[in-house]
This record gives sequence, structure tokens and C-alpha cells, in this order.
Amino acid sequence: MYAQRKISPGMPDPIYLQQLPDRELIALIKSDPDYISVVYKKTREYCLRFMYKMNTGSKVKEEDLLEIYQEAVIILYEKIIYEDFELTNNASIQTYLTSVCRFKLLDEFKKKFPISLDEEDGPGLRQLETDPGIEDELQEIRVQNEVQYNAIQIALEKMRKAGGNCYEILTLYWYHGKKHEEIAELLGYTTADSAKNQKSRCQKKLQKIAHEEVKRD
Amino acid sequence: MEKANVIVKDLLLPILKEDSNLKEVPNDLFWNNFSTLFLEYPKDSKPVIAELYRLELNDPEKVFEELPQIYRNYIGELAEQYVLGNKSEAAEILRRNRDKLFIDQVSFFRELKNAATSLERSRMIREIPAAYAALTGEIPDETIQAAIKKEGREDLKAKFKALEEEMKLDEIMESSMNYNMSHRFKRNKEKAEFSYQEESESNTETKSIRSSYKWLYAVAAILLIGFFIWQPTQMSNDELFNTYAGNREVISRVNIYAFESVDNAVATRGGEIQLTGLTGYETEKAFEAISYIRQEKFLQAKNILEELDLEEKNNEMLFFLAIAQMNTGDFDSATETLENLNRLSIPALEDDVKFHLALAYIKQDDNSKAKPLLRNLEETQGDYSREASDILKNMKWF
Repeated sequence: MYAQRKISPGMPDPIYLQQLPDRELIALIKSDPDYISVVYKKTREYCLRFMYKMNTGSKVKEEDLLEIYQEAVIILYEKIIYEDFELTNNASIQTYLTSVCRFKLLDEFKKKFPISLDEEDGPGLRQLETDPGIEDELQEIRVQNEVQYNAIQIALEKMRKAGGNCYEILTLYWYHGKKHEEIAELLGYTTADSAKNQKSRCQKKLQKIAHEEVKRD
Repeated sequence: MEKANVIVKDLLLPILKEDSNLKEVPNDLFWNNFSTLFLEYPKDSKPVIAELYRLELNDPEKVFEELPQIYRNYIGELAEQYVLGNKSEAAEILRRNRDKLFIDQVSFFRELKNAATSLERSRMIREIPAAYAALTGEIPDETIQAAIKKEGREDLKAKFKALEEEMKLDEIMESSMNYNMSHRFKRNKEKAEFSYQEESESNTETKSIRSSYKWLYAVAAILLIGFFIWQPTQMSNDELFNTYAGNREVISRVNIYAFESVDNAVATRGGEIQLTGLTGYETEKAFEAISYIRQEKFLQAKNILEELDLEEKNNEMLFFLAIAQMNTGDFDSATETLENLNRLSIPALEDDVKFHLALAYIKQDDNSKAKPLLRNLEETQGDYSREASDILKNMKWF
């Protein structure tokens, strides 16, 4: 998604990626957001199957199950980059994600039917590996200036569509929590200062586009 | 004030170092005082100026000129750190004083963080399969499915189209036959001599002739329509762009030694060229970028040229930035730069700009803007007339 990769013989082998120990994978995700896709590839089927089993009587629509899983992946990603997420002794990324999916799905059930937890888990699911203590959720986005927020969103979208590095630099810094040195390495700038200067120029450009958007409204 | 000290030092020290009288880097005490006093700079600049005078610089006025910009950057960086959760004493003072610039900047960065989070969460979900493919070089399952679906859909569309054409032709033939029949009937009515049998035979004969003609017309019409839509003899905009943009032979035609900024280049003491508007180091970097462009290493070139911040410094080098942008997918920026350069009509670059601007328009499927530029190049018989006329010949008709 970020590094301007081209298919080359030096790329990591898919089998190697699938077999990477979770701790190494977490370290890779910290350095390059694209590695979250390996988690997606490794855990998607199991999480979805788990939720299908849990979702007896189709209380939640099938397409919503995929959304729950995708949200769980983002929760994991944000834990890794913001909270220095670490796995406890016997846990795995799969267990963590299944537990988040379970918690989210139970939450959906509760919104629809006020029933007890035992009934929801069902006998077939109890032996599956989950950690009922995990109740992680996505951090809420607290918008304080709706007009400015909307204008910046539009401006960022414009930058993304225009190509170039501005969207990437700004989101790497403001969402993915990357430092200037890391941005320089990911995007091929010679020094951290060059990345910082470019980021500053992009912010000015963004401010200008957003300001025009506000005026237009 | 440790964080604020670091920020101020990063912003001010490079400018202080340009002064020939600065013997050594000021100590921590200086930065500590300065970062505190600087917070009040718009209200009271005297203590800041007094602090700088203490350094006994050769040209302190030069530093004073830069202070308003340095101040804005200082407050901006403090606001940035505040939003990222890195609280500082300086930010706390600004917040308590309800400093307008600081509050505005905090609001902007907070909503930027929110907007980036919201957009990135959605984008990541959307692009995760593609990211895996980019990492490993595998084609994502979704792409294969989409390709199969697309091919199937195209096939169906073609069949529907043929059927529609056939039906249309059928209707036209039917109405024209009815018209002929009624006229013939009118003409023959006066004679009133033909029998029912004769009429019936004549109808059968017409029907079979009509049927065979109908198929011939249908096939011809489909072929004709297909030919116009497909335009097999013409090149797609992407093909045209890929043939000429970034083409080493085309780029090597740009003669940098005809540039005004090279003519006016200041000869440094070492006899090296220094481009107008650029420092010796920047000139060196600009030439490095041009060399990258000529080797078709556009990303490296773009990064270097963007770092040079060429706007208002050197228009001729901006042209190379536009080429690098165009060949790394940043078409909007490339078009904007080239349009500005085209308006400026820089003598040494007039044709180069027109040609590359036409290519940028072609890539964005804006052939109506590309055509006049290409026609102009074709007519002036300059460096790009052959390419311009080839593109015009090969461009799709609509």
C-alpha cells in the first residue's frame, strides 16, 4: 500500500510469510503497515468460520460478519502501532483476533436479543480457543470541528487521487505513527529532514485545499 | 522547556550558522531563554532581538528577517506535538494564554489526525488483499475473479449489442418493405388484375430476399460499429502515453545548455556551474536529478527535486520536476506545473513543455486539450513535430 513496490525476485516468499512466527510478524508490521495483510491472509478463514458457527439462526447478516472481522484486524493493527502490543505466553494473533470477533459479535447479539452468554457461545464453540477477557474496540474518532474535519477529509482524498507522496506522507505520520526517519526510509527520501520538509509542504498544501473547501461551502 | 528548546534549535541554528561571525553553537542556557522569550515574540520582539544581539553576529538583520516564519513554524511544531500527545511546558503556556495561532494549529492538526484515521481505516480494509499481492507478487483472488467477471460481462455486452443491432435493422427493413408494398399495391390497384395466388407467391419471394439482405446488412452494420468503437488501427491513450512519456530518446532531446539559468549560471570559484536561484549544493542535486531522469529513475529524481523546493527559484528545473511527477503517477501536480510553464513561455523549453503537457492531458483522457498543442508542434516543425504528428495520426478519433 505504501512502499512503491514492484514485483521483483527479491520479494518475500508467500509460504515464508505464512509461516512467520507471530512475534516476528508483529515486528514487521511495526516497520511496514503492508505486513498487516499477512495477518489478514492467515486468520480470515478461521475467524469467519468461528463467527458462522456462533451466528446460529443468522442473527447477524453474513456480510456483517466480514465487517466485524475487518474491524478486528484494524483494532489489532492500531494496538501494534500505538500500544506496543505484545502476545502473552501461549496466545497467538489468531486467538486474539478470534476473541475480538467473539466479543464484537456478542455485542451485536446483545443489541438485537438480550440473551445469556452461555447460550450464545453454544457447546460446539466452548472448546475453540478464545480469550473471553479480551474486549478491545476501535478507538472512537472525536471530531470537535465538523466543518474543518470534513474539509480536511475532502482535501486528503483529493491528494490521494492526485497521486504523489503527500497523502502517503501525511497518513504515515498522522495515522500510522511513523517518524520522519521511517517515512524517509519507506518513501525513499535521502534524509529524515527531507521527509520532514516535504511533510511540512504537504500540510501547507492540505491547509490551502481544505480552506478552499470551507469557503466553497 | 526541553522539547521547545530542541524545536527552536532545529529551526534557528541553520540560519545562525550561515553567519560568518558565529564562533560556536550557543549553549543550552541560550536555547532555554530563547525558546521561552520566543513564545511572546508577536507581542514583544525586543527581548528576542536583544538575545540575538548577544551572539554578536555579523549580519543580525538577516536573522531578524527570518524570525516571523521561524515563529510560525515553532508554534506549528508545538501544536503538532501537542496533538500527538507529547505535552510540553511551552504548549501549556500557549494554551493557557489562549494563543490564537496555537489554538488554530491544534484544531487543524487534531482534525487532520481524525480525518487521516478515518480514511486510512477504510482504505486499509479495502486494500489489504492488494497489499498482500504487492508484498508477495501474487495476484489477489479478487482480481482474478473480477477479471473473469469482466471478460464474461464484455462478452455478454457484445452479444447484446449484436442482437440489438439486428433487431433495429429488422424494424427498419420491415417498415421499408411495408412502405414499398403499399406503394406497389396502390400502383397496381387500378389494374386490379392480380390474383391472391400471385400476391402470395410474391410475398414469399420478398420475404426470403428480405431475410438474406437483413443478415448481410446486420453483419455489415455490426462490423462497422465495431470498427468505430474498437478503432483497431488507433492507439489507446495509455499506449500513446507509455510510448512517449519517459522515453529516453525524447527526454535526451531537452537541451539544458540552452537554458537561460545555465547561461546566467554563476561560475563558482572552483569553476563549477551554479544555476540561478540555486546554491552550489542545490545545483549539484538538480544535475543529479536530471541524470536520474535520463536513466528513467523517476522516483529518485522526483524526491530530489521536491526537496529543492524549486518554485520561485528556478522555472527551468521545474520542468524536470514535472517530468518526474508525470512518470511517477502524480499527473495533477505535473499538469499544474506544465500549465504554469506553458503560460510563462520559457524560450528554451517552449516545445518541450507543450509536448509533455499534451502527454499529461492524453494520460488523463483529455484529448481535446492535447490536440491543439500537438497541432501547434506539428505546424512549427520543431523538435517534436514528428512525434506530434504521429500521436495525432494514432490517437483515437473519439
